[in-house]
Amino acid sequence: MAVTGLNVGDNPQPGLSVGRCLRASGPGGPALLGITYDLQWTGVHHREVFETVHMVPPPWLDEETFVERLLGSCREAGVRVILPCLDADVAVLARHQAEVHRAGVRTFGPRRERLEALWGLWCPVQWELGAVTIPRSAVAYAAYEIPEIAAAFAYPLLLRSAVGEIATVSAAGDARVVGGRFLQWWGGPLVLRECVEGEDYQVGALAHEGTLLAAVGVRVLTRGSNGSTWAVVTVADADLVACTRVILGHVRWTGPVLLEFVKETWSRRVWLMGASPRFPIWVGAARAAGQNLPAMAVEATLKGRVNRARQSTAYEAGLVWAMTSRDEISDVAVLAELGNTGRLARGEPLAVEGRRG
Amino acid sequence: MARTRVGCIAVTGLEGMDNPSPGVAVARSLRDAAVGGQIVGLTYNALNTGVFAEDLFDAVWIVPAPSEPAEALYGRLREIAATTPIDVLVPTLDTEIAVYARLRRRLEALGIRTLVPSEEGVKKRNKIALPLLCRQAGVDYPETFVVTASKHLDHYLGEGSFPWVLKGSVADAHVAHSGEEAHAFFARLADTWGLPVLLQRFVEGDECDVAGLASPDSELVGAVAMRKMAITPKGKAASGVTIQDDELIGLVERIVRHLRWVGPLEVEFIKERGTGRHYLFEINARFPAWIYLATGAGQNLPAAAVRLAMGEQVAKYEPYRPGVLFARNMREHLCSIAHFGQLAAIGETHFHVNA
Repeated sequence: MAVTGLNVGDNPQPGLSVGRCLRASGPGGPALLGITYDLQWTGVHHREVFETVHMVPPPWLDEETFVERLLGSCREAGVRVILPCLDADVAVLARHQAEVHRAGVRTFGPRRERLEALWGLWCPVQWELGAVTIPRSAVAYAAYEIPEIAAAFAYPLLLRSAVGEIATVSAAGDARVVGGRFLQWWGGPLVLRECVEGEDYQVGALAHEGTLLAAVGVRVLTRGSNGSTWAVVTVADADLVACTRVILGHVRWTGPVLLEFVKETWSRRVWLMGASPRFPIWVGAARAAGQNLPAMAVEATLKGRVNRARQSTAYEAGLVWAMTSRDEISDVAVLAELGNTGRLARGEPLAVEGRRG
Repeated sequence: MARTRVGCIAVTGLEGMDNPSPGVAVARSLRDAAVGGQIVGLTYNALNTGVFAEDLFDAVWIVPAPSEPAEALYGRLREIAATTPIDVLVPTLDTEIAVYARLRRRLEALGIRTLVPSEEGVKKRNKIALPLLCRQAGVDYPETFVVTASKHLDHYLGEGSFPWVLKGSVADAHVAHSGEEAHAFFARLADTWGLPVLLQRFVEGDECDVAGLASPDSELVGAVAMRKMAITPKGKAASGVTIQDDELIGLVERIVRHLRWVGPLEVEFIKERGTGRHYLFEINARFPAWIYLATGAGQNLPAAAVRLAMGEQVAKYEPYRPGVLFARNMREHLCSIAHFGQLAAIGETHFHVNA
């Protein structure tokens, strides 16, 4: 199996967590190939999860080359299933689904039009879908567009980068500078969205053609300065699961998804604040609570059908999951090997020498 | 000198998120060295993710933040020490070092030893005083203006060309490429950290940091130099590699002697492209968040700091290995809501029964 999303810097991508869930899915676990787009992505040093790591050019530079190199790596490593862990990967694989299938590689993701339906939830006007309110949103692709678009909103305003970083801005100058930085770093689109004050919830789910197969709801305990999620607690909240069912049914979703909700402080109204076509970073919490979403996705992919008997939205509530930054000690030779060959074979972790108590 | 048994070590700075505090890495180094019987965490916030690191901490207590009166912190530590005697306390946050320096003798009377610099030493290396210190110690420092109001910003920006670096009085820095960016960052930094904001000439080159440890007689016991490789949008190192650079270590040795420094420190430099000059731009009065790299390269400085705090003689470390790399990864922790609830409600949680 191949897993993408290996960067674990200040805004960790879910690849490592997904890899750990697959490792925990059965005795021995599957052989895992980690796909990185950059030599500096720190997850490449995490030897306990991936047997091998291959470097391929990122999809946002050249889509055709990305698909060609990714499928080349899959052929070389005997990969049968790809679990894309970045929004950009999912979009490209949805566009090239036929080509990927012809190469004998399977994915459990949406078709192109379903992905467009998910993006289509965001409109310039506020609207309602069942019990969920979807706030006004607009999209900018260049820094000069920001002030004009932002003028239609009230401050504070929420900015969301292409990789999910979040910033709240309180003035037009601030919006242009912070939004401009996001566009410079990550490219478009930059989403501008109304801010809603309230409690922060997320649901990680898996669906097949609009039918909810599994879902775990969490309350966000803490976020990093860039909006990344670092601690959650699983909650038993039937309303959130019901909202998720309605949304995924509406877009006839297939694959993993992360939905972000806010329960407004004064009205208790449920607002949808984000929707990403991938597993959440806290997918390990879902596994520990009883729903191994990546393993279920792999099973569905390999069998070509969904095991309805496994369909469940029951999980353990009250489980706290948190991440801490830990430095992996490695050797500069590892980077040289990956840089020179584009391949990294699993080795024993570097011995830490010179300890003294 | 024979090694004394260290029963319990307390470590502060348990934030483990995108801009981690050094406490988790310090505790990890101490665990590797098996230097203490118990390691306990002291946190200001029950939501610092390091409080869930049950593999490193036997117990965690909430203590008053450094912004509160020192007396409140002292009272809380006395309360904790009454049930769990602490032998050594390793503070790891810049904002608390001066407080611990002030409380050092009173904490010693409670049996809690620390290895911290004098209050005067802490003041001399703060961001505002740094240009003077560098001049006195003969170390290069980038041209810097102290800006106390946004209306003065344009005047200083006119003194040179973009880019400029804007720095908060306590932490955070942004590189501004235009007047509009400079004003937006000034407002953000002033909102977060208060005034003044520092405006510094941008020096293009490699960022190199040194983690060091000075003995009570201000001798450098160990020092490891690292060049940043991957840098986050906030300018923090996501990966770095140890480098052999005798000039850098020599500069740190000079600063340690000049300040009569005691304890851990991190000195940050930029090696200017083209000239190769080392510009010092920050001194932190604590171990850096990447201190586990020093341990991996052969110098376990946190373990040595504990030994020094216990009054032992510690020999100067052998040279470390260059070419050792660190990459910031993440570890996931799972626990029951009961642990978190206990910490939030009564200010302490115990992961291990005998803690």
